[in-house]
Amino acid sequence: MQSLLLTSSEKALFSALQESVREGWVVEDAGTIPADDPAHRMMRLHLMRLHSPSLASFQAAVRADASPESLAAHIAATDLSMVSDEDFTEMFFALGPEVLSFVIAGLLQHVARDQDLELIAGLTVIRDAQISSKQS
Amino acid sequence: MIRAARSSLADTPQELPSRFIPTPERLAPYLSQKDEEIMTQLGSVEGREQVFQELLKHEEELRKVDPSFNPESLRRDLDLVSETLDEKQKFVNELEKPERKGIVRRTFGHLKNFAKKHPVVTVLLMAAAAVAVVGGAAYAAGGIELLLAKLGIEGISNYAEAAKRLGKVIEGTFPNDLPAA
Repeated sequence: MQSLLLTSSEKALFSALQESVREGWVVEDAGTIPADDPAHRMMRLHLMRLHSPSLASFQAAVRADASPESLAAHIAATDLSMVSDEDFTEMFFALGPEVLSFVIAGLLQHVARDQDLELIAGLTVIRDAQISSKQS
Repeated sequence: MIRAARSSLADTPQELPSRFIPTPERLAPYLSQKDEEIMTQLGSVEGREQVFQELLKHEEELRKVDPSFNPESLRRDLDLVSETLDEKQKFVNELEKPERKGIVRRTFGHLKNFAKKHPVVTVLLMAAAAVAVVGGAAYAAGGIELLLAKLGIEGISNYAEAAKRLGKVIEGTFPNDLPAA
């Protein structure tokens, strides 16, 4: 059995999924998501440090042209396959639990397969680590 | 954590004034210390006080970099930098715990190898990486929502909310001396 760490509103979204998709999953309580103020989010972004070459190229391209239109092209052109786990950790830390919660809620509304829940389960574990790091 | 090329005290572009955020990289030229040493120093109340007193000796230069510079904000920002660095290390430690490590690795693996199958997550992570170098103002006026729309993942209120929070976070404060990573 695999676990999902969900808030009460996310549990409701999970309950609305087809039974065949829910089968095999155990839902645990994620507790309350702590408030995340802009000052803390700003500082996490200021302290983000990425080292993977593809992300360095991406950030250089964004510096050269930061328009939203170009950003879409820069993202589409960036290969994440060689990005280090450390850089993913940096980016998730910068997002924080509140942004990640909106993503989790959005994804839960579009679950079609068991694999979709596997990704969501991983995101809930990352969020749980974010929450623990704020509390410890 | 090492910058490719450090700016001198005076070479921050005057036409692009930015708020002075005392990250280890920005402190390094004023303290003549390595980033890692500064991070350690910021971890204690005494260390932050030493950094604060040292920076006050450069107040005139700092006002050229950041016309809004004031000691009270500096003290608060030093505390916030310290708190955030501490929180980041705790987050790393939490991810490394045995009960989380495996699923976290698998999740990162999914995002690396099947990025196109997970556009919302990868786009928001990369949007954060973009905001980190150009500031939120570039994407504040619905820019990230526009980005989601261009990628065909608009119209979902949760994602729009996530994008708004990310895009509006650092309006007007360009961390323009950050390293190119």
